[in-house]
Amino acid sequence: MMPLQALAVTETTPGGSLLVLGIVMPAVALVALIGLGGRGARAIVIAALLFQLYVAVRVALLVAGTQSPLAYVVGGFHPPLGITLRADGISALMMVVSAAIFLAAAGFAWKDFAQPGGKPEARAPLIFWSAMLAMASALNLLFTSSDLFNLYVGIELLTFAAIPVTAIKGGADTLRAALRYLLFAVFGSMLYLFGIVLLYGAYGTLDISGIAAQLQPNAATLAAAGFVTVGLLAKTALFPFHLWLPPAHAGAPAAGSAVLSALVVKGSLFLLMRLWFDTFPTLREPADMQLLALSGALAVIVGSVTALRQQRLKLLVAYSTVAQIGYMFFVFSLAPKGTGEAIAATAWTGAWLQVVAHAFAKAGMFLAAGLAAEVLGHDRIRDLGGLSRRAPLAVLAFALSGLSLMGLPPSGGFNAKFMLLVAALAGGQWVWGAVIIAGGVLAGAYVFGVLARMMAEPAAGASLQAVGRGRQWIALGLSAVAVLMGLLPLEPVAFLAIGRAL
Amino acid sequence: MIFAIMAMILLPLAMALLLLSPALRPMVVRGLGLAPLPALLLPPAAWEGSISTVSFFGTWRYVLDQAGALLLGACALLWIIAGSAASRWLAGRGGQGRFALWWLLTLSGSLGVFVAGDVVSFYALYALASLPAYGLIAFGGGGAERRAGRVTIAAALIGEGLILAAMVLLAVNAPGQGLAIAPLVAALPSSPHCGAVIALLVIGFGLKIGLVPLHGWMPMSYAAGPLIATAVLSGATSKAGLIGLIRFLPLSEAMPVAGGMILAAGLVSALYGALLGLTQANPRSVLAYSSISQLGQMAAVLGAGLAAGAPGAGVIAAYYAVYHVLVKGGLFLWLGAQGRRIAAWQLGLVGFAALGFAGLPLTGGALGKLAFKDLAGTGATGMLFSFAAVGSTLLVLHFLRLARAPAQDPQPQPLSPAAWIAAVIAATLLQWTLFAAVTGDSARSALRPGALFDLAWPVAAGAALAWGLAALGTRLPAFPPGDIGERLIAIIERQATRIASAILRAETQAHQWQVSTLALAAALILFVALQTVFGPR
Repeated sequence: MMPLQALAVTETTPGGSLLVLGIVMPAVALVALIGLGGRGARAIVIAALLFQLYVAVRVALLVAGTQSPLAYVVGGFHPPLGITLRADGISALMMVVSAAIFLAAAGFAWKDFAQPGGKPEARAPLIFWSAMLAMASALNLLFTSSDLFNLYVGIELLTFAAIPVTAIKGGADTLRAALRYLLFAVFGSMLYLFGIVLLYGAYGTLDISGIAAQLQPNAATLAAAGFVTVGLLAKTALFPFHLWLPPAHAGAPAAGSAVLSALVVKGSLFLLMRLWFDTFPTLREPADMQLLALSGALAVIVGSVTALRQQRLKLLVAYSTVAQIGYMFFVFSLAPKGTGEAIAATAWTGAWLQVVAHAFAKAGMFLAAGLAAEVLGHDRIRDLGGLSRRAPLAVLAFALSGLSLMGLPPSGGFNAKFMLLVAALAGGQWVWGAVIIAGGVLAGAYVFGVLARMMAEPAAGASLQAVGRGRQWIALGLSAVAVLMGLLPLEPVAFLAIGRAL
Repeated sequence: MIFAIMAMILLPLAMALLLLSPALRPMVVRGLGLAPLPALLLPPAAWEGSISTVSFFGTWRYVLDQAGALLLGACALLWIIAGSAASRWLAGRGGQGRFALWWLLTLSGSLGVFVAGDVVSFYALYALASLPAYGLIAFGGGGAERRAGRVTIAAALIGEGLILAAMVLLAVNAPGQGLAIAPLVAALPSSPHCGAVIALLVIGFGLKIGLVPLHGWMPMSYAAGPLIATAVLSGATSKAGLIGLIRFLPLSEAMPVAGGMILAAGLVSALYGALLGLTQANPRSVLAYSSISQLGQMAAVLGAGLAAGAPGAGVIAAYYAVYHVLVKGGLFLWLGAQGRRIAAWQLGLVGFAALGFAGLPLTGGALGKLAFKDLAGTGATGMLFSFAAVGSTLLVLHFLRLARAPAQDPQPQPLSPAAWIAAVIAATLLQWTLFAAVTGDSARSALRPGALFDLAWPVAAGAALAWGLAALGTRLPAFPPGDIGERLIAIIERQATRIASAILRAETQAHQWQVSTLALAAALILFVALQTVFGPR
């Protein structure tokens, strides 16, 4: 039982306490935030996020240096009594990505959520900044936890921190969107919780490696796997469970949308991949995995076509998220048990590259869309003309992000799609290959449509506001990361396999 | 050489970045003709050491061989000539920064694609040569221009998708071979997917070179937008499709079936383009059909080469294309340079150059036709090539008749006539100088009576036919630009709209609570059921 051994945590490794810091620091900062009031909120948040980035980079370097996962046994109590934290290659990667994007988004929001002195404190900034911290903490919990209930806590915290961000503008539409998000997320949580209750009943532990070690394909386990999976699908907004995503992501402030689309939906996706590849690998049933891939394919096609038909820029970008999430689900059928290891490793790398490239590209794109709305005072796609004069760097950011979403080289999006395609065609899964290509063509169409409008002359009588260079640079920086990822060689990345037994 | 290659690709991109600064913008616009200069350093280097390769970052490789060098040199010249004319044309015009941006992006891709040595670079530069063209075509912002731009880009995007599929299949067929084009293509003939890859390549690149019936976008695209842009799009960027075929077809392996099919498709294009071009009333559309016909002949040459396993076919097709690059670009520049009246010497020079497409002796085009004579053969295919030349003659005469008529809308700001004259003369000189190097025969052999007769009779026959048709007062039916291709595009547009609406309706359905929650329940049941039925016991 090799794969199961690899997951079991026995002792705290050197540097394991960093994992605790990654979760606790934002929480401590959150307490400070509430204690000290909103005036210094943004400074505290930026400081906490900087520290978060430092921790994440340290973790990644340690994992890369030792070529083995970091672990921390909380309080010295081993499972099933205690809980453990564990960071392998993908955890470390996601910690770094998440910290970097949070930091960029916070920098972008610095002005929007200021608490000017001399006036009574407004509520929105405090809510926004504390939600940012809570989301950052929850994501780290999700990336490092190996206890199913702990993961449940993480996923709930993530949802409940994300919802206020979508509602912060306070209009009737955004409130409706937030309520929708809330209800659907609660559905998902219930299903997930029910699943882990079943597992607890069957195995008497919630520790991932503990369950993996004694996994039996009995009725309770099968049902539990189903509940957990479907619950997480609802939270990941995989088609057809995406109804809450576009209005929620389009209604949030730009920095919030960036974080929601880039990271928050990836939290539940991370967990899904963790479960199917690390906890239930022996339960992976081709028919079920094809079902996930089919949903992913529908997401790619329906999401892209719907994005193409949007009138509003932020909704277009949000539907593009629905489509891009779809690509990530191909990995379930492209990396099945039994096929050659090379194909599985290629698909695995392709999927994670897609997660990361989409995170940076989409964050940059949402920030650019936010700047567009600020310059023009609206976000109607037909009247985007003139943007390239007032905010040329934002247009460039949109273009670079678009490059990655279309999957044109050089960009992380290209590398991801190329590797997924190689896995699909080498594994004889032609249909998924065709969908990946069609999705790229459709993405090209919607990105191009927007860019052409942005480059056009301004509409008569349009009044254009100026926006600062600093925020344009932040958007551009995020998009540039997505593009620079295209310089990676097109082969499986060994770092992503650290701590896994493929 | 690596510096020259990097400079060639990056200089236009760097200039495009400088456009961000309003202060530097006029300077960049004035320097459009200088942007392609680094490219001129490369062809001589390639000529001496036939093939050279550089690579960096592991994946990215650049290769300069003779076929690439020929096309690169010709296209660089056209971009320089047109760029200088464009700078003057843009002076004082609104939106010049925007035009320069799309121009420079297209330029970088259009030249870079000739030296791309790995599939990733090729794919990237090919896209760069194709997609920014939208901004050039739709520059005026009119409805027809925007539609032409949209259709052009749609064709390009679909082509890109097919080419990507072909490239991934190439990589899958030769695992562990890296991503350089040459070894992947060498491994192709023995792979089980060989037929599929070649089909994808021919359709993908065929969309770019307007292989019938994939040609519908070309007349539409070339009839819209500023003529200065059409000059480079028709002359230079269409050759990205040609270099694609040259690089990716396994020409050193004799593949009679695949080669024969490409030969047939090319010849159909050659004849079809010449014939249907006669039904056009707009000189720009006529030139587009002439492109379809000429590029079809180049594809046919490559097909013949593939059928016979002649690796030299690439260089010969490229050599033939050199003339088309500069003269087709030159003809569009000439259209843009017309004032109200056209002097007789102009008509003479233009007519001489354009009849080169038909192989009029002494023109550069005639040398191109002599170069591929051996590949074309003497039998039925050789005859069909001659018929294509007859058709080209008719088409050129039709073009001249249309262009001579006083223009309904004289160019408000004509291009400088120096541009087209330079292009036409450069084409002729290049062909005469390169003939010996490409074919191994001396250029004098083009003046042998036998060769002269072979070249001259289709032109004479075409001229006689044109005279006869005119004398009889025959009126050819008028077809819309793009003929069946246009119809095809209209059908696709209609169907795509229908499908998109259906998908949108489905999406709206999925947006309802009942549907979504029911789907959730259904997914759960389905998931567990599948697991139970198929899962491990």
